[in-house]
Amino acid sequence: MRKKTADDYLFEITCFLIASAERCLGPEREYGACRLLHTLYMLSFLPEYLPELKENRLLMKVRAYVDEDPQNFWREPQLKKFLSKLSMELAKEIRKRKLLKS
Amino acid sequence: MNHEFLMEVIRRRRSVRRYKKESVPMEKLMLLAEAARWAPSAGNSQPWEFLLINDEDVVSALKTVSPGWLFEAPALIVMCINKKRETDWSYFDAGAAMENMLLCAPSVGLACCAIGSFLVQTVIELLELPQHLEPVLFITVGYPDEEPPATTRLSLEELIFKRVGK
Repeated sequence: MRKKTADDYLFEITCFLIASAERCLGPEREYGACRLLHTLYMLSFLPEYLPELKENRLLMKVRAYVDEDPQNFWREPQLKKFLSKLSMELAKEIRKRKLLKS
Repeated sequence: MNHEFLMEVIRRRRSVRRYKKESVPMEKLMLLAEAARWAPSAGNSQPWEFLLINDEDVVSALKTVSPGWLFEAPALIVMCINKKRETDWSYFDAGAAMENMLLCAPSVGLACCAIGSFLVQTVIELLELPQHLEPVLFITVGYPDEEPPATTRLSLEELIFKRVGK
């Protein structure tokens, strides 16, 4: 199989999102958070295809969380706790990137 | 038949999502299909029909439209219901055939994960399925690269509503 290009990978993410959206309107209504987490996981690999992108610390945390145990995708109490922790880090990251003026 | 041995096979079954890169020969996929062939079905209707796929390009294409499929797998079995043999119980029958495959897999060094999440119409198009075949399940197949722990199970007390009789 030929090596995946950035364009191939973007297409893969697009397919995943289309399929997820279609399924979440049907029998997988409950899977929304899980699919969004999966999208973040996929985005964490983007710098491998686009070297001009810097490794994203938050995305790498998502990758580590999932790689530790794939069940973490949908194990709800843990997922909620992880996302809450990530939300806190997001605030720090926004400040660090000086997106807030004060 | 040895009860303890059979219970061990049942208890040790896992949904494996990480596989080695090694490809799975068609002969081994045939062994899983043979196990499925012996599943029970309503009125012996045998409504199932399988696509055995170890072409990595095709497997990869199908993965893109299956959000529940987490990691790469070298092979895939697509379980279809053949509408010409369909009854009201065909989905139960497909489940029984699936379980036979999952239980058989470790005996030939393989592991599987059943996935119900995929875009049915896109899969029909990609695989050029005839109208009478409805894909109902993906079963990823490969050589295991993880040993997931057992998931929790409800106790028998929670599962048995009532025992009637001695």
